[in-house]
This record gives sequence, structure tokens and C-alpha cells, in this order.
Amino acid sequence: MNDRRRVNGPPGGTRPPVYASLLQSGTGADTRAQRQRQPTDLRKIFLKTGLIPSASGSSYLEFEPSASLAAARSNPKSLIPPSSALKLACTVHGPKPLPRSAPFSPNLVLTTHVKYAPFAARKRKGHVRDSSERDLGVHLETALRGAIIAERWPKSGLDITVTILEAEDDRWWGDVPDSHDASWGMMNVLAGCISAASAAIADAHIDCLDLVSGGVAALVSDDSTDSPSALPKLMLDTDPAEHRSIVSACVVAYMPARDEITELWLKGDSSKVSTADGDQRSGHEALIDGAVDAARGAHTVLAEAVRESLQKTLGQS
Amino acid sequence: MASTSTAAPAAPNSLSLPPSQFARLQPHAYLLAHLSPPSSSNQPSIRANGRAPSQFRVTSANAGSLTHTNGSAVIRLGDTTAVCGVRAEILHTDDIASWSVSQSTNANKRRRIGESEKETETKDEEDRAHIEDLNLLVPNISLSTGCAPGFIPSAPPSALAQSLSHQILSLLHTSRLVQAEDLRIWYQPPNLGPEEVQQHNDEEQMDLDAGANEEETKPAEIKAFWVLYIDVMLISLAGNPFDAAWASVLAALRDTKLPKAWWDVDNESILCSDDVKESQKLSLRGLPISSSFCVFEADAAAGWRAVVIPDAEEQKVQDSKHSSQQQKWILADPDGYEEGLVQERVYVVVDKEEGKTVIVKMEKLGGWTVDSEDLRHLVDISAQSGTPSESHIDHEPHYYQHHLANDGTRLKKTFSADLFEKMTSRYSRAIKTRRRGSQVPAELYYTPRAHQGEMVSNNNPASLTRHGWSVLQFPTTLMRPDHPQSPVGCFDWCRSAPTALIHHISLGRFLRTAAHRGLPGKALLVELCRAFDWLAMGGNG
Amino acid sequence: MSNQRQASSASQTPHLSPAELSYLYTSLSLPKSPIRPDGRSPTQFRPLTAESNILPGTNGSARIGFADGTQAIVGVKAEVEKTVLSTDTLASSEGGEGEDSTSTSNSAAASGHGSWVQMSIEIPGFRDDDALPVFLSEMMRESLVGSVADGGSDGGGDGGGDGDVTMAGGLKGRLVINKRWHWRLYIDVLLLSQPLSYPLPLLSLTTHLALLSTKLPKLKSQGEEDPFFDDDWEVAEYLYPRSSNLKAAGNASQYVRPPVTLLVVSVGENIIFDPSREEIAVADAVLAISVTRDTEAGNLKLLSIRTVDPPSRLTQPAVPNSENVNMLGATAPTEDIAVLNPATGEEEVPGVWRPRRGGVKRSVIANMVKTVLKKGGVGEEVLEGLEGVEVE
Repeated sequence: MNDRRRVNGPPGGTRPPVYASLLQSGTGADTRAQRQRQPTDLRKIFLKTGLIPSASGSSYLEFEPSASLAAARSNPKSLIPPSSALKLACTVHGPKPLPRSAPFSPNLVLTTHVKYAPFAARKRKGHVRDSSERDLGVHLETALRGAIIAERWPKSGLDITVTILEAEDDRWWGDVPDSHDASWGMMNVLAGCISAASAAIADAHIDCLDLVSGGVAALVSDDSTDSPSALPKLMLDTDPAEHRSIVSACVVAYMPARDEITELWLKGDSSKVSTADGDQRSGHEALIDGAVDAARGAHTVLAEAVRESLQKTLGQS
Repeated sequence: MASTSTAAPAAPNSLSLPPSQFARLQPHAYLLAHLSPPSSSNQPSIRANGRAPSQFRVTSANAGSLTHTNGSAVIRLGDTTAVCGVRAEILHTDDIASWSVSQSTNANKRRRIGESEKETETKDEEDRAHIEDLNLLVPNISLSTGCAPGFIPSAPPSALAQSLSHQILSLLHTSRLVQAEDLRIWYQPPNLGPEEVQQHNDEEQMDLDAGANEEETKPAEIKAFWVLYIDVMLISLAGNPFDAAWASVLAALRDTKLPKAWWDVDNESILCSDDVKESQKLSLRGLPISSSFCVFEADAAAGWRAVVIPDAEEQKVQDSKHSSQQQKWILADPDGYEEGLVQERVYVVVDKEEGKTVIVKMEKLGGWTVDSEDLRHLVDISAQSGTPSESHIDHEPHYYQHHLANDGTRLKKTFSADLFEKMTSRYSRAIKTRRRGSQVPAELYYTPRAHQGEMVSNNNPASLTRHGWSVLQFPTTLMRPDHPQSPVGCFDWCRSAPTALIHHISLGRFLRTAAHRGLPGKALLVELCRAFDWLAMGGNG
Repeated sequence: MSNQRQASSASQTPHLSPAELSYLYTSLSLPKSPIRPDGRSPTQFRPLTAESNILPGTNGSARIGFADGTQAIVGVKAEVEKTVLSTDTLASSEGGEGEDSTSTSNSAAASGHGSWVQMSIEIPGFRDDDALPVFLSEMMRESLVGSVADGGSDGGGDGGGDGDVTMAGGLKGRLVINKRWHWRLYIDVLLLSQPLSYPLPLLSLTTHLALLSTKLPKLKSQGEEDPFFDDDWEVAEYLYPRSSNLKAAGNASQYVRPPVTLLVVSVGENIIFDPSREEIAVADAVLAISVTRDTEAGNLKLLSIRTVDPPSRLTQPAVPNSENVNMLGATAPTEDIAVLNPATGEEEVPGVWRPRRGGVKRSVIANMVKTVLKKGGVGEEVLEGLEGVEVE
């Protein structure tokens, strides 16, 4: 059906460009993005609040570009980006009265919307939210609802909107697209959404139990060529473009002050993991612990951003 | 709270409010108080946001920061932020339903027209046809980003978003910013063997003048087009979305690189090179800068009374009494607060061509107060505004410091005689009839040419007639004197007993048919306004 | 608006009074031995009736009804579809003409693609793009297509057209016919009644059963030619090979089985399976855990965990007597030990219901997963029970 409310492209549809170099196998293998960080090192995060004055709270989050992306930016050779870095904006509107038609609610009613910009991902996204975006919205809502003290705003609503300007890739571009079609990049996006939304909620001065932050960990088997029997390794804050094969991944929303997880999403085969000697944890436990460690790291950035936002408000009044 | 209670007895007027509350409760009075300070205080008129009426906000731009785009830009216009990403995709000519038909007719046309002058004309027409008919430029503006409280994130595009998308689209078309040649992917078929050439010639026997060249080289054919998806996300909206969106589109298009693409015979598809060195930037025509204004009126109903109450003399006396006090302010680059208080807007898009300022688009809608003099002034402001965003991208900081001198004089001669004659013959009768009788004969209503009402304003004069006041509305289309079939703009105006009012001006809507040379300059506007003034006088002047 | 809100939470919040909620919570959180309203043990499921192959027009179908009246029907349809050659497979077919490339074995042609399985869920009272159906279908599809992550464990390059016992590549691999053709699976899930409790376990069990009963016609063509099939339904092969087809009936653990998703809640320290509507209303945390049988190790394997928003967060708080205007002066000053919650700064009076706040501890999650996965645990019990459903 034609969308009459938007400007539509050619009716026959268009095709994304096909790069000739991709048709030869093994292109770019030498320029393949490699993780330069230690397994427990996290990427730097840029997080700033209060950029959108018409919203009651807002935040902007950006991940540090990976080494390969930074190199490609400073010295562009190929039009194909080696990896991408998450960029997203989050706004909070409310608390505001619920519409008259809505039934009574003793608590603050939270609605979350996550939308990719059409140009956010390697594949062009549509204007209407697809199921993965709705899915992300539900995850985000679960993560935040556990942190907000909702009974302090009866009969009120809170709208949280996240616009993703640049998403994480699901895999390295040179890999065969179907070698694994799981959307690992979505998990990084969710972790970013959680941290950004948490900062925006704090910016809107809404009471929370704690600043809830998102973190990702994954079990990765990178050197499959050398020894296929090698067990997957645990890595924190994985950029899927930098790894050959992600076996399983986990994202948590974590509140350090209470040591509690408000949202957990784990998928993939976590039965095998190479752990240190004497480590009795099973795969999924190690994975969850790793994600929690990553979330702790994000929490420090979050706390800093919220402190900045608070100083700004205090300075104004 | 405690501080106010202690302060209250001291102040004789207990009804004083802090400025922020006053601004919310009485927005109109608040802005008016800022703009018209008491004459005794000797303060300049200043807006509530601290800017002078014709002052634009500080603009910053950042291009090329998004990874998955061919070109991108972030524009911050004060607190309004727009992010634009351009994605290029390929449209195969095989996928265009009517391609082969239109192609053959075009080719025939090109052959028949031998004259060099007309060739550029056809080429222009072909450019236009390719970009507009094939929808090669697809701009969409999204406001569903939580940019302002009014927009529901999951809802379909609001009326404002739809209107903005279409304004951008029509401006892209009329300004002919993107060259169609940049978007074409050609294929040069290899030379055929002699037998095949023979066969080929047999097929094209009907074509009389085809033979000679074709034995050497077959003409190159277009195999595909690039389609540019131009998506603007307004991240934060604090007034003036159009300027921000247009600036971001412009900056992103300037940043756009298209990979080298060719038709691969073996794969039967288009392949691209990922080498940055082989990629090409778009070559844009000019750099049209948009400036938006809104008109704040001290007494918004005054204009209406003037129309509705025909007691002209009395009104004029009153007007002259008040003339010492300014009644309206034209505010450049309005913020969200100001936009909520006005009903009249003017959009001016100007560009510079060979050192001259040309108007690419001008639109005025709603309200009655802006007259021809004001419009001339606004074009001047737009031309000088030196929108910093562009200078940032450009690194040509003085690009827009050019002042409009009397550059209109030369054009005036060519325009005036013809234009005036046309308008006189068309309208004098109508106006004279109007003066004689109270009822206007139906046949004298001039039916607009291709006038579909791009923007519908709230205060349509049609509503006035419903109240028993006969107000004539003349949609007037201006033709190019050297090219009588090409309209260059149109305006609606209406006339009632005391005054004549421009109701809606839209210049540039027809630019796409105007040939490449004749973008309307300030001179045209001068003409337009003079024509209007003349009409307003009743056609006797 | 209201619909959306319900959709986003775990299920419709039952209209229970704060006093009822408090009572339920207290009895369910009794240390070691929770008392469930219907007298079940913490790991016990509600009785259910199940039958499969009920819809003759489908490749496989099932119906399950719970004792509380909720029931669901799942139909599975399979269609043959041409594999769209992506740019990369195009490349390998181009380059691989001479050298018979082995690199293609990694591509879609061999290992299948997740988008070949389509799932739609219909729940009365919800639009199909509401949050709840979307979330449920994503959750179930994710574990279904992701059930074998390392499909290349023993070279799936041969295309596996004739139903290997081991089913290399999992469900996705099974759908490959040859390099140019594959099966597309449509799974339509219908909830026939109002969603009284969170419908996930019911839908997951029904889908599992339907997939177990799904048969694909026997392939008669060979290799890379266009596929054609035996029209004799008798010789059709099961999508998931059944133990009855083979002599080695004893070790069912060898066969790949569709995943099941279990709903587990925690109340206090207790872990409760298959929660009813009232139980889920007071849960501290709700987890959806997907498991399947690990063909190599023979035990159960974790596929995914997702938290579900517990509806207890949306419930109405109770007012302690000390603050109740109606009770003013009617009661003696309360003797209750008011515990000041350090995080919220609010008093927690025992026996006075407060909506749940916060998340779940890691130890609780680990405990939940262990209960599901352990040998002879809940997961195995469920899988065995489903295996036992007669397939005609």
C-alpha cells in the first residue's frame, strides 16, 4: 500500500548498491575490523543531558568509534564503513495528565518508543516501526519500570522516545550475510537505550530507585580457523563487527545500588565457555556477570552526566 | 513562597508576577511589552528571547558524521536541531514501467530539434522529467522523534511534517539543486560486429537520420538512476523547522558522495566501486538559503476590522493617531514561543547567481499586514542574513555579505511593459465592474491557472464573503515576458473598500518550467509589488 | 491507550484488592514451602489436555487447553520457495564455477536463514502490531531459529535434503532443499480465549507440539534440480525426526527437538513454575526461559532468557492503618515495626501491599535456570510429557 502521508520513492522500488569488491571472496580480509581492546575494556561513552529544551528531560548518547572506524574516518579509502558506532537521542515528556479516555491508574504510566532513523543501519529502515523496534520498546519499558518509583505520580503518563541515528552492525560487512543472522547489534542498541533513557529520566527529575544502566557481554569464538575446539571467550561490550562469530550474548539493565537486574535478555548457546581455573560458574552465569560488569562501567558515565545536569539546573535557579 | 509573601506588602501592586509566569499567562502581552518599550525609556525594541527583530539565531553545522549514509549533516539553529541523512539506492531502468516508451519519444524529439538554442531547453526539460517524474529525490521529514510535546511518537506524520516534506520536495525541484546528470548511470555498449550492425540497421530502417553515426558507435544508454532518499529527523523543535530542515538537506547534499557505478554485462546488474577516490560528489546548482519570518501584530484584529468595517475615513483618522506607535514587527527566524503568537508568515529563499541575488522561492501566507514594501525589505534581509550555517560549511564567510544595490533596474525594462499590459487588460475590467456595482458578475472571477493552493491559510477571504462582505480574490499568475507560456509565480490578493491586501504570494512554484536563465530576481518582486500597488489603486494609476 | 498499556505489561492486571495481593504474596513467599492458591507444588504444572494433527489442511497442528479454560491452536504450513540469491551467494556461484568452492557451504544455501520461519500470533483483544503479540512472537521465533548456533559443527555442506537423524544446522538447516530451493514455514498461533494469565507457556507448548507433528512431503528429485515431491502423504517425513521412525527408540535425547519456553516467577525467595493469573500478579520477577535438548551432551541447553515486565509493578498500593483517614482513632497506635526502605525512603509495613519495585538478584536468576536445566528437572519433565502426546 502506498503511504500517502509521506513522499514516496519510485513505485517500482530501488535496490541498494552492490559493491564489486564484495563479489570477490576475501576482499577486505586484511582490513577486517579487529578488537583492539582487552576483553574487559569498555568503549568510551559520550553522554549529555538537557539538549532538547522543549522536553522535560533529554539525553544524547554516542559510543566511541572503534579503532578501525576511526582510521577509516581520518583516512577514507573505501566507501564501505568497517563498523559503526551507536548514536541515539532520547527525550522524556511528562509526567503529564493521562488523557480523559484512559482508565484510572494508581501509578505513573510509562510508554516507550524506539525508532531507528531510516539511515541508521546498513539496510535502510522503513518509516513505520517494525517488529524489532517494537520489541526493543518493550525491553526498554521493562528495564525502566523497575527503576521508576511510579506510585508517586498517580493518574500521570510519561512518554519516552528514543531515536537511533546510527545503530550497531550485526556482523562484519565482509562476512556472508547469512552466516549468522541473529541481530546481535540490537543488544548493543538496547544497552545504549537503557543508559540514555535513564539519564533523560534523571534530567526530568523523576524519582528512581537508582540510575539503571545497560551493559552487554558476549561469548565469542574468534579464532575458529586455528583450533575449532577452542571454547568461546567472554568479552564485554562487544562490537559485533569486530568478531568472527558471536556464540551468545546478553544484555542487562542493572542497578548497582541494589545489585538488582531489572531487564535481562540472553540468547544463543551459552553452554560452553572457557573460564579461568577454579571458576565454577556455568556459561550463562558468567555471561550475566560480564554484562553486569559492563553495566557498572556505563553507570559511572551515567552518574557523571547526571551530576553535570544537576549542576546546570542548580546554576540556573 | 516565603520570599513572595514578605515582598507582597512592600509592593503596592500585589498582582505582580514573575516574568516566566507572565510569559505563560499572557504571551501576547509579554512579547508586545518587549517589542514596544515605553518611549521614555529609550530602549531599543527587542524580542523576548533577547534578539533584535531582524536577528537570526546562531547556527552551527556538522557534516559527514553518520556512518551508514552517503552524506549527512547535523544543523543546530538555536535550540532547533535537524539531522539529515542521504542514502543513495539504484533504480534500474528495467524497473521503470514507462521507460522504453518515454525514452524513444525523447530521442526522437532530440533529433528533430536541431537548433542549439532549443537543445538546452530540451535538455533542461529532460533533466526535470527525470528527477521529477521518476521521483529520484525522496525527502521526508520526521517530527515523531519526541522533538516537542505535541507530536505523538508512534502516530503517522502530522500535518506539519507532511507540509514540510512537500515544501522541501518542491523547493528541491524548483531550485533544480541536484543535477540529473549526476544521478544517471550510463552504459556504453561495445561496438558490434558488422553483421549485427547490419541487422540493427535493418531494424531501425524507419529512422531516417539514424544511419550515419551508428556504424561507428552505438549511443550510450542510461541503465539506471541513483535515487536519493533524504531523511530529516528533527531531534529538537524550537521554532522555524523549515529553515533548519532545509539547511540540513543542503548541507547533507553537499556532503553526499556517490560511488562510481557501471553496468556489468556478465552479472546483468549495476555494480559499484567502493573506492573513495573514484566516488563523486554531487555538483549542486547554487546554494539557496531559506529565511523564515513571522509577523507579530500589536492588535491582531486590526486588519480584520479594516476589511470588515468599510468606514474607511474614520479608520484612517484613528490609524494616523496611532501611527506614532508601531503596530507590527517582522521577526526573523522565530522561535517556538513566537510562532505560537502569529498568523502571518513569510518564507524567502534566495540564491546568488553571478553576483546577483535571485529569489528562488517566496511564500507569504496568512494574515494581511505584510505589504509590498515589507516584502522588498525581507528579501534584502534574507540576502544579507549570512546564515552562518552555510558559511561554516563553505568556509566562505562573506558569501552572503552582499548588499542588494539597485540591481533591478536593468531587468525592469524588459519586464515592465509586457507584464503591465497583460495585467491591465486582464484585471482592469474586473476592478472597474467591482467599483460600479455591488455584485460581481460570476464570469469575472478569474480562474487561476494551475493554482492549487499549496498552503492553505486560516483566514481565507472566502470566509469573508460568507459573512456578506464582498471581497474579491484575484489569483494572479505572472508570465515571463520573453516566454509567454512560462509562469514564474503567482499571488493571491484581494481588494475591499478601504485597502487592498496581499493574501498569499507564492513565487517559484513554476520555476521548474521557467528555463534555466530566468530565475526571478529582486526586480521581479519590484515589478510584482508595483503591479499590485497599481491594482490596488483601482487600475487607474 | 489502555490497550497499549495492558499490552506492555505482562498481562492484564487482575483486579485484586491490595489486601488480596498482600495475602497472596505472603503465602507464596513462605520460606521453603509456598502455598499456592490451587494447592500445586512450586514446580507443578496445571493439568492440560493436548491433541495434535487436528487440522487436516496443515502440515502439522496442535491444540492445548488448560483447565482454567484458556486454549490455543497452532497450525504449521510449509511452502517451497526459491532461495533468493544475495549478492554474496551470487558472487560465490560466479567465482565457484571452476573450482567448486567450499566457501559456499557457509552461505544461506546451506545453513538456512532465520527469515524462513514466519510466526504470527493472534490474541483476542489485541491488534497484531500491539506490543504483547510482537514481544511473544519475537521471543518464540528467536529460540526456534537460533536453536543451533554452531551449525557448522560437522560440515553441513551436503545440503542435508533427506532428513538426517542429527539434523545438522537445526531447524534452519532442515528447511534447505538444495542450493536454490528451501521450505518456508508459516506458524500461525491462535489464542482462542481471553488471555487470562500470561499466555506464553500455553502458546509455546502448543507450538512445540504442532512442530513435532509437522510432516513435509518426501522429496523425489535429487541434487540441484527443481524439487518435486511424492504425493503420498503416508511416506512424508517429520520435520523433526521422531523416535518411532527408528529402531533406537530408547534414547530420545539424540533428536533435535523444538524449544519450549517456560514462564518462571520468583516470589520472595521461592521459585514458582507455570504461574496462574493471581500468582503472576504478585511476582517479584518474571522470566521466560527457553530450553531445548542438547543433542551432543544429552542434557538440556539454555537458548534464551528474557525478563517479562511483572504486572505487580502496576498494582494499587495499600494504605497502612496509620495513614488511613477512615481508621483515624479507630485503632490503637500501630505496633507494627515500620521498616524504612533505604532506597525509596518509604515505610514498608508488613502486611501492607506495595507495588513491587526494583529488579531481581543474580542469585535468583541462577537458581531459576538451574531448576529448569538440571537433570530430571522441570525442563525435561515438560519435554518428555510433550513427547508422549499421541501423534496419529
